[in-house]
Parts: sequence; C-alpha cells; structure tokens
Amino acid sequence: MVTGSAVAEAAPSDGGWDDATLVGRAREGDLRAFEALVGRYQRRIYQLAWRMTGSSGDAEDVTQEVFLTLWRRLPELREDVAVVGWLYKTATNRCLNVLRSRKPTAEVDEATTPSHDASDDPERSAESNEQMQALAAALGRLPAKQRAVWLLREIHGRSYDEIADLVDTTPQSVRGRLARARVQLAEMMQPWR
Amino acid sequence: MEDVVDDLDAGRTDDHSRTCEHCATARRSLENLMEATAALVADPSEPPPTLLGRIMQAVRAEARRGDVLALEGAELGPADVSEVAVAAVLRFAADSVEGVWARSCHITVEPGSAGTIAVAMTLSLRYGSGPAEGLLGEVRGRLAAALAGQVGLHAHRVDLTIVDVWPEEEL
Repeated sequence: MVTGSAVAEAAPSDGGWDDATLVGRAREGDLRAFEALVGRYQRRIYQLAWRMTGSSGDAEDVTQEVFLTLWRRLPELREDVAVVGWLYKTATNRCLNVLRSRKPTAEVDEATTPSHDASDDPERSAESNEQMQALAAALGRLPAKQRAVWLLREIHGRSYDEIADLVDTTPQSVRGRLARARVQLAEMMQPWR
Repeated sequence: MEDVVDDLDAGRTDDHSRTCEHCATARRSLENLMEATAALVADPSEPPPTLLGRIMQAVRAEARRGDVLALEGAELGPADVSEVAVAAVLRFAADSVEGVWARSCHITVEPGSAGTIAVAMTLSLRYGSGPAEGLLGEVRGRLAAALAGQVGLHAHRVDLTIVDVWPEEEL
C-alpha cells in the first residue's frame, strides 16, 4: 500500500564503511567499528521497539539488549550474515517477549507518541501528528504479531521472506496478516468510531 | 474492504467503486491510513541522546583484552602488547592508504621467536583507486612501518587478501 521509502538512513557520520567491514572489525575487538554499527542502526531498532511496545522505557531496554547481544554473538555470527536482518529479528523477538511477559491488565499506553521537532509548517505538522497519534493508538490494539508484521513491512520496508522468517511463518501468511492489519487499522482510524 | 485495498494498490477504479457509498468510505479510510503511514515513516523522532553512550558502556565492560604478544628485547622484564591493540594499529595503517579499508586482521606469533609475528589481513578496495598491486604494495609498506615504529614487532609474513571491491557511489 505504501511505496515510499522506509525509515531514513542514519546520517553518514560512521565513515561510510559497509556493514561487513564494521562487523569484521568489531568481531576483532574494534570498539569504534562497533560504535559505528550502533550509530547506524539504533534509531531503526528503537523506533520499531517503541511502536511495538508503546513504551519508550521498554524501547530503550530492548535496543540496549539487542546491541549487547550482538556484541556477545559477534564471534559466532557468520561472515556473510546481514547484520541488519539479525538486528530486526532479535529486536522483534525481544519485543514479543516483553509483551508476553506483561500482565494482561498492564495495557500499553496507546496515547504515547514520540515527541518530535515541529516542522516548518505547524498546521500541517499538527495534522500529521494527529493522524500519527490515531495510527499509533490503532496499532496498539492489533495483536502483537500482526503489529510486528505491519511495522516491519510498512515502516521498515523489510521483505515478505524476511518477515516470514522473523515471525516464524510463511511469506503467504505474512501477506494475509498484512492485509488484515491494514483493514483493521483503516477501520479503527475512522474518526466516527 | 479488501477489494478496495487491491484496487487502491493497483490504482484501479470501476463504476461500482465510484458510485458505491460503502466503497467510497472504505477508500477514504484506507487513504487516511496511507497518509498516516507515510507520516510515521517520516517520523523524525530520535532515540534519547544518551542511549548510544549507555550501550557502548555496557559493551566496553564486556570487551575482552585479548591475548598478549611478547615483545622482543624486553630486558627489564616481559612487556606485553595486546593482539587487539596491534590489530587496531595495523588496520589503521592500512586504512591510511586511499581507497583501502582493512576488514579483518589476524595476528599469530611464531613459537619461540618473540617479537616476530605473522599478519593475515583482509581488505576492501574502492573500484578505480588504481592497480591492486600498487595499493597492496603500499599497504605492506605502511604495515611494516607501523609495526616497527609504533609497536616494536616484526612481521616475517604478511598475507593480504582482497575480499571486496566496491564502487565509489555506493557509499
């Protein structure tokens, strides 16, 4: 449905090295290379975790755990493995675990949305904030796995095959879940409901 | 509504969807979702500025020092230098050649010959930086200089392997 770009790339303050080089160097103990990897991907992982859990505190915890786990697993990570896919997979699993471990009564604060800089056009910014808030609230009411599928596809632009692997199902089932998620979100966002 | 999703995806409209009130409503709510999705994709919010520092603090606490190499001619007692530190010096030296990035660097010590090591390094080259032979020669020179000047070790063997060539515009 949305064909726009996925979450914008991090600013190239990391020397522009490719992931494989950074992983290779980090594996040998080069902390600057690892820091460049964290700088490159922390925003995407944090945003996914925030939208998944609805809590900035949980999102911070998940992001920190994901990168610490990456550091610990570097020696056993295969040379050709795409680190970004590994990060998304680990983050998604962590989020699903966090949600499972919550008490049924401890609902996500659905009104929580990221604070962000006002754009140049305050009116338009306010409008899109309102839309975004409605969407964030609707997302909080989707089943967790469906929410993960929708976020990974529509916000982060991951492939059907990758998402299927992430949530342990088939690409066909991912398409089905995504279609249902879109319909449910569209219905929940109708202003008169 | 799923038919309307398909139509929207395909950019299709037909007589029914143009005149049917339910389809028009469904279409409006899906377009609303698309706009909100685009806003979420463009969401400029950043993680807290302290997060990177906290992650790196936790990582540093776990970083191992690595094995140590014995230096030659340490008459006042054994002076050791960590493999990790030597590899970092050598990668840095290789990086200083324009169009070259060091990827991995393994160091092995010859048994019984303190101060002598073997270096195995993999490199990425930028396409169009010049003949590989010349670049590799330059890398060898810088590695030898860095070892002698900064570390006090001698490499009896340096294996360089090019594992990647990348076009300039890609990064």
